[in-house]
Amino acid sequence: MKLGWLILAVAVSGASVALAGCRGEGSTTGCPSAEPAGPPVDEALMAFLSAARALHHEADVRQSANDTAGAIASLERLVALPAPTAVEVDEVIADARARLAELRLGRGDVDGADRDVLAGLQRVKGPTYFRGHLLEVEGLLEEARAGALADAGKSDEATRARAKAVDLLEEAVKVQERVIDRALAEGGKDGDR
Amino acid sequence: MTRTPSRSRRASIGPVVLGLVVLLCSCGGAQQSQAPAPTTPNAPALIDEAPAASAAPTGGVHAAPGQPSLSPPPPPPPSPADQPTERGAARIAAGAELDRAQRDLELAASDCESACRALASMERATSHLCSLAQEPDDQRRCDDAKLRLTAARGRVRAACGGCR
Repeated sequence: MKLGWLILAVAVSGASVALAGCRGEGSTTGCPSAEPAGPPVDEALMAFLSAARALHHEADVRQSANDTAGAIASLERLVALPAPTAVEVDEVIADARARLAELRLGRGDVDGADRDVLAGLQRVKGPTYFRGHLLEVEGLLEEARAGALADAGKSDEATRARAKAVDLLEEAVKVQERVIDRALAEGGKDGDR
Repeated sequence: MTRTPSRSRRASIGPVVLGLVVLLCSCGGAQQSQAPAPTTPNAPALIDEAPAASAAPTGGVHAAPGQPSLSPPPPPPPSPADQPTERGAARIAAGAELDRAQRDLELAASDCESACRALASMERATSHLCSLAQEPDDQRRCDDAKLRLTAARGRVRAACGGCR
């Protein structure tokens, strides 16, 4: 409630600034339409982000209809989109890879999930939320692998997979802890990355 | 999981934003009140009118002629040459302050959203880690993760008021 009120206040005050600037100068200087255009927005990036958002929505719809294969297909289209080189693109693709891995894992496709996680980790190297999330998903993947191996009577391999899962989950915890610390300490500068 | 507004940050930003709105509106309004009414061709130039116009307080309570003034006497008006410059500078400064306040507000929301999202991932990872703990070393790592999680949760709660 407070946030909404404040956003409204900011919006109103922004309009007030523009209007005060317009009527105060006796000319169009300061009016929004008279301001010179700012730096051009990267159209390729905006198009990619828009398409990615649409495909995530499509995956949501399909997932809510229990169409996991369809949701996976939507996300596969997303990660195959032509995209400019940008940090934002890397993060969106890493996020989509994590979601793909979770969906595949839910269907028992551990190897497919593994490929998605590894591809996602190639996109995000630093201690970011996206990397932490991928490590978390990889930990779940190894946990599932350990269970399958144990069920198959491969106890040594199962033990190794379980140990790897613990390592990955512990690393995920530490990465996300750093993300939280940075987000709260540095005013969000790269804290969410 | 989404963020919950930071009470402390928003509580400090809100009044600043509103104060700036009032300041800017009054600033623009004062300028408007200074602007001459539609003038005749023989009307004096604006620069000659400005002192008289600015001498009349805007928004004050005016007494009838011959009555004592209900509002304190206005301060001596600045010279006509200085006034537009001062008001312009004040408007620019207020605009810059508003920009800063708006950025702070946006960053506060972004910080909490990021922190809450990371906290959720941390909770899931800790839960799975502890469910896998069989050996004493695993249990120690589970306990360490729980401690980290508890501390992180406290920091997020203190800064953001918790997560939804």
